[in-house]
This record gives sequence, structure tokens and C-alpha cells, in this order.
Amino acid sequence: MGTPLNNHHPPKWADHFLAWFCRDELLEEIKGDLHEFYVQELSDQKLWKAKLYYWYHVLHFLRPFAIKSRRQHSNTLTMYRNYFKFAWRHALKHKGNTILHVLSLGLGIACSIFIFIYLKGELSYDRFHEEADRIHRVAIDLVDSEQRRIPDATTPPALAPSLVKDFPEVASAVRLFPNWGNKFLLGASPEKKFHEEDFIRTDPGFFDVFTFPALHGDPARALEERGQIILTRSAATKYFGKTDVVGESLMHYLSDTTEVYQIGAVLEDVLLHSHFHFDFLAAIPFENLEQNWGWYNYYTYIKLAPGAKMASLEPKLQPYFESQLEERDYYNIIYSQPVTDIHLRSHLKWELEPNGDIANVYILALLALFVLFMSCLNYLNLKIAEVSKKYREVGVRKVFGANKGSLIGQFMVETLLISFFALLFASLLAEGLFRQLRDVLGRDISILDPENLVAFLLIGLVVVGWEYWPDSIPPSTCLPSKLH
Amino acid sequence: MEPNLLVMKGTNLGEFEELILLIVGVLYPDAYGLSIRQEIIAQTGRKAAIGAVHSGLNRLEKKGYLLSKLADGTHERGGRRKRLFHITAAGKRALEKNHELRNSLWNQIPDLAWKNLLYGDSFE
Repeated sequence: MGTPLNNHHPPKWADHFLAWFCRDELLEEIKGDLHEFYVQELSDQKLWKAKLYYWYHVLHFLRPFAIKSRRQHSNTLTMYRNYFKFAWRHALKHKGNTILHVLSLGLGIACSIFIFIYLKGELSYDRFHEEADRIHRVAIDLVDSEQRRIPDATTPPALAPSLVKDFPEVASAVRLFPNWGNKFLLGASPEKKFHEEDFIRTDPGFFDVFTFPALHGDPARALEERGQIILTRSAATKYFGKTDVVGESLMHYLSDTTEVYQIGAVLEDVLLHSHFHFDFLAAIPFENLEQNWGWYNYYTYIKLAPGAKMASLEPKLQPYFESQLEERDYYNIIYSQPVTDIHLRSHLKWELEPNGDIANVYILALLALFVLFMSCLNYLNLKIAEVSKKYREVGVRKVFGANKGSLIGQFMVETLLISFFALLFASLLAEGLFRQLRDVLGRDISILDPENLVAFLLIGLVVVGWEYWPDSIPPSTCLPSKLH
Repeated sequence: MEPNLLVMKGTNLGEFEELILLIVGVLYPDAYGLSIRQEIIAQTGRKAAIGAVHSGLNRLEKKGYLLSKLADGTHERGGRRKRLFHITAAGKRALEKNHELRNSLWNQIPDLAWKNLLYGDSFE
């Protein structure tokens, strides 16, 4: 053969591997065949090829008939099935305790699910606008004669058109002029009139900045003329009983006369998570605003051109603003806010609507975590108290040879079972709450929304993970060797 | 002897199993894993891993179609014994059944079917 003697030995590691996984009673014949094969291969193959083939054939013995049955493995499975059976029986036997556990844990989980999903809503304000990160509100803080800075969201009417005109970074700008406490008596017919407050006067460029989906009509062209008006779905339904009302007219009853508005478009209702709401949009009815830097009763929103940075525009605002003013107004301070930050981080005077507070978000998040933590601790506490009642069961288990590990396993399975049902109960409860509180929350929320499902699963993981880990403590501290 | 019902996996004879069973007969009395594999390669040209052959032999023995005993070891095997296989009566019957079924089906094919044989073209 011409091969050195030591090469008659096939790869050692392959043999070790084979011996490790192969049934003992088959090992001899299999190894014999393989060695014989190897010797044959050596006579007409290169050494490395023969070794490679040897490995190949060894690996081909990884088949059920040749692999050692791991008795330990199947035993573990059986034990877990047994744990589960006992946990189930235990739960049924102590129905009161079980229900208490499931309810208390479930309540805590439901509470945190609810809070977290609510917070998710708070954090999502004004993100429904297309390219919301390019939309900013420009505000001007007033500085009085005693150098006190008074935060103020309102701006002069000349600001928006001037910004578009003089800054290439500003792609579009829009003014909002809310009702300022006035009530508008509107009606489709003299018999059907309502006083309305959610009436905003604005520029035709409203839809260049904001995104509000239209139901009927072309909203971009529905504010071009003075006598036009845009309704939301619910306003249209309220006055006409239907939504497709483009072209119909809506009367505005003043004390002595009646204005007639032509309906130019119908929008979907404004989402809850917007920092301002309206039912009616109409053009601004006042003249000579383009040079008016003296009135502070308009809100100014700008949308930056693609690629433009607010950080580079911001320093130019103050000099520009001052250059437009007469001397007495020099002190006022102009600045901008991202539209998505307004709800949680802006607390100016004359906000369009009461805003939330980022501090509340943190507090609520902490609260939710705390509730979750408390209900887990509470469960743990109840469980430890229960352990003393289980001496007999544990004793019998020990007599039958249960070791510490298997006793712990028993407790873990019980905990997992309870946690699972608590989670189930919590999800039902949270879902029910969302349905009941639909009117308060202003929209439909469901746990089954994909992004909420993620939050839900995360909470579930935290609970189960938490329960799983510390629950290994009680049996080992309370039980073995201390039995009488 | 009837095969042991407890270890029977079902009496169906797979195609590869049938091949192994036939080769065991061909190689009598020296049929063992490696020689069967070599014979399969030599006779049919198809590749089979040693493990596949062993697995098939194992199944056939469980079905009661084969019996085995350990023979003496040889030098090439590092002194390890090999397992020699023999066909059982049940194995023979299973082969016969397959053989007869095949023959019977073959004989039922009308001569007309062999006329105008198609060569993979369309039916029309």
C-alpha cells in the first residue's frame, strides 16, 4: 500500500464523535465498516480525501436508528409534563388562591398595558402629517418693559408670507386664525342652526403644510376664494346628514346679515393626536395683513424645503424679525418649535389647545413599571406564604427521590401557568377597557394593533421573565432538609 | 416464523429496502454493511452512504425480513467484528410478493401498449 502505518488510523475526532452519538450496541460493526472503508479509500485516494470521505460517512450515521436515545432527555420531558399536571391540579384544587393570583397579577399587567399604550398615543402627536419633521411652528415671546419674557404662541399676520418670500429654506407657510372665543351660528337651513367654535380661518396653503385626508373635493383649491369653506366628515353629517356635500352652501348667520359659504371640500375628522382640531376651515376674511407686524393673533406654521435645516434658519429669524419692526418692538424674541414637540413640550400662552406634558409621560411610565413590579412582588409574596402549606406535597416528592432542581421546576411551572392566565386575563381586560373608554380616548385602540401587540408581548416577557427568575428562591430556602 | 409484531415497523418494503434485501441474497453468505454498499454501487451505479445502508439494514431487521449475527473481526477492521445478514422466510415472501405483483402487472399490459411507443413527445 505504501502508506505509513499510522495513516491506517482514521481521523481521531471523527471516531470520538461517532462514539459519542452512536448507540453502543451498533458501534462495533459501524466502526468496523468505516475503518475497512477507510483502508480501501487510502489505497486509491489521497490522504486528505480519504479523511474527508471518512468524516462524510461518519456524519451520515446521524440517523435516528444509530443515535443514542438520551434517556435523561425523555425523562425531563416526562417530568415537565408531570409538573404541569400537578400545577394544573393544584390550581383547580385551590380555586380561590388561583383566582386571586390571576386577578391580582392580571390587574397589574392590564394596568401597565393600558398606560403604555396610552403613552404611545401621547408620544405620537402630530406625526400623521407627511414629512412632519419638516413642519415647525414659529412663535414670538413678548418682552415687556421690565424685561420679563412672556411666552406666547401667537405671531403677527405678516410673518408667514414674509418668511416664504424672503427665505428659500421655507417651502411653504400658513397662518391659523382660530375663533378667539367667538361662536359662529351656522346652518344649512334657517331651521337647522348650530353655534360652532371649532372654526379656523387660514390660508390656501394650509394643505401644503399639513396633511388632512380629503373625503370629497379638492381641499387644495377649496380655500382660494373668500366665500369657500371646508367641512369635516362629522360636521357635514351634522348639517346635511351625508358627507358628499361639495358645492352645497352653508349659511353663517350674523346679527343683521347672512353670509353664504360654498362648501369646497369635505375632510376626514381630525385625528385625536393632533395639537389642534377644527370642524370648519375658511379663508381669512381680513385685508392688508401682509404688512401688519403689530397684531399678535395668528399662529404661524412653516414647512422647510427638502434638505433645509431649522438649525441654520433659526439664527436668521431674530435679525430678520427686528428688521421688519419699528423700534419699540425690538425686545420680542422669535423662535421655532418642531410641530411634533408642541403637544408635550410647548407650554406657551395662547396655545391652540391644552397640551400634555412630557413630565407626565415619564411619571406615568414609571407608574406603570411600578405597578407591574408591585403586582409581581405581590404574587411572589402570596406564593411564599403558600409554600408552608406545601410541605406535605414536597415531602412526598422528596421521598420519591425528587431533588432540589425538580422541586424548583415544579414551582416554576406553577408560576408560569399562573402568569400565562394572568396575561390572558390582562389582555382581555385591557382590550375591554379600550373599548369602553373609546369616547374618552377619542379613537379605537386595540391590543391587536401590530404595534400595540409588540408592547403587549414585551410586558408579557418582563412578567414571565421576572416571575421565572426569583421564584427559584422560595423552595430552596424554605424546603429541603428542614422537613420534620 | 412470523416476524415479531412488537418490533415490526410495518411490512411495507421500500424501493431502497428491496434493493438491499436483494443484494443481501446476492452476497450470501457474506453480506454485511460495507460489502452491500459496494455491491449496490457496482450493480446500480448509485451512490449510497454507509450510514444509509446501515439504516436500511436496521429497518429490514426490525421488520423481520433479515436476521443477523456477528462474525469474527479482521485486520482491516482493526479487529472489530462485522454483522452478517441473512434473508428470513418473511423477507423471501416480501420479495416474492413484490416480484409477483410486478410480474402480474407487467403481464396485464396489453401488447398494443408496446406498439407506437411515445418518446416523450406530446400525446397528439
